[in-house]
Amino acid sequence: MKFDEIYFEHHKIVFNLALQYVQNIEDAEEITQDVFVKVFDNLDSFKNQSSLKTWIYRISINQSLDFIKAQNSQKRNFLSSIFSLNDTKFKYEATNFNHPGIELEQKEAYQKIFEAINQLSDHQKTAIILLKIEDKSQAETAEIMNLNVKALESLFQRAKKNLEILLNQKGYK
Amino acid sequence: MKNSSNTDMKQVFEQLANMNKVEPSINLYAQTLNKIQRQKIIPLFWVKVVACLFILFIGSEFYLTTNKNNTAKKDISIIIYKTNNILYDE
Repeated sequence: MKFDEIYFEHHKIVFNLALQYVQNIEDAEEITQDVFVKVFDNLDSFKNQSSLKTWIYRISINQSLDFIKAQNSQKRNFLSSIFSLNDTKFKYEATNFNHPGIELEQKEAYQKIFEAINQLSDHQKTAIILLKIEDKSQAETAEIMNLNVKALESLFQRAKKNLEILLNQKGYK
Repeated sequence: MKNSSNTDMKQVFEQLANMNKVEPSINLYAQTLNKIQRQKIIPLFWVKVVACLFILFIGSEFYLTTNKNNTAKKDISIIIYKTNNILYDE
């Protein structure tokens, strides 16, 4: 399959997935570009151990998480230098919450939900995003995350519980 | 088990599922291709580093060469001095 065919078949999936992690268009576009650069670089070595779609999903998730880690790292260094903080619990907050997939009148509610999702661990966040936003089945999600279905179910239950606690703390109703 | 939380997680997940999918910008493909192309170009920083190292190398070679010539001159002057001594003693 040629690169441009792969791009146009998967770019919407990759972009929307990135959007769920970073919640703004500019960052999602940057991540999408990085994903396809990686796809281009590694296409020859792709050994069909999983489907192409699964492979691209994994790259997208890893790139999104790496982007968030890089943002957290910059934030931590900047604030640490000013306030001499050693707190390593800086969690990603979208600098510009501008998710185009939500209606304006519901922006505040969605912003609270995503603030809570952003505070979950990488695995829990990914499970919520794939199962509840991307509407993937448990089998598909387990394959993408390289887990068995039972482990995924357990992960999802923990994520759901933590999300509930966080939303309660934020006063979401 | 009594659920004392205020948050209805079913409603939260319904809201998440109702989000619209977004069409990426049509320029994104061109931007991606540009990024792939830029990878292939050697960054200007490394070109400057190599240029500096090259200049240092040429400079040190020049220094060593001129230094070698000066050392050779000293050797000649020592020989001349000895020769002069021998002649003088005779």
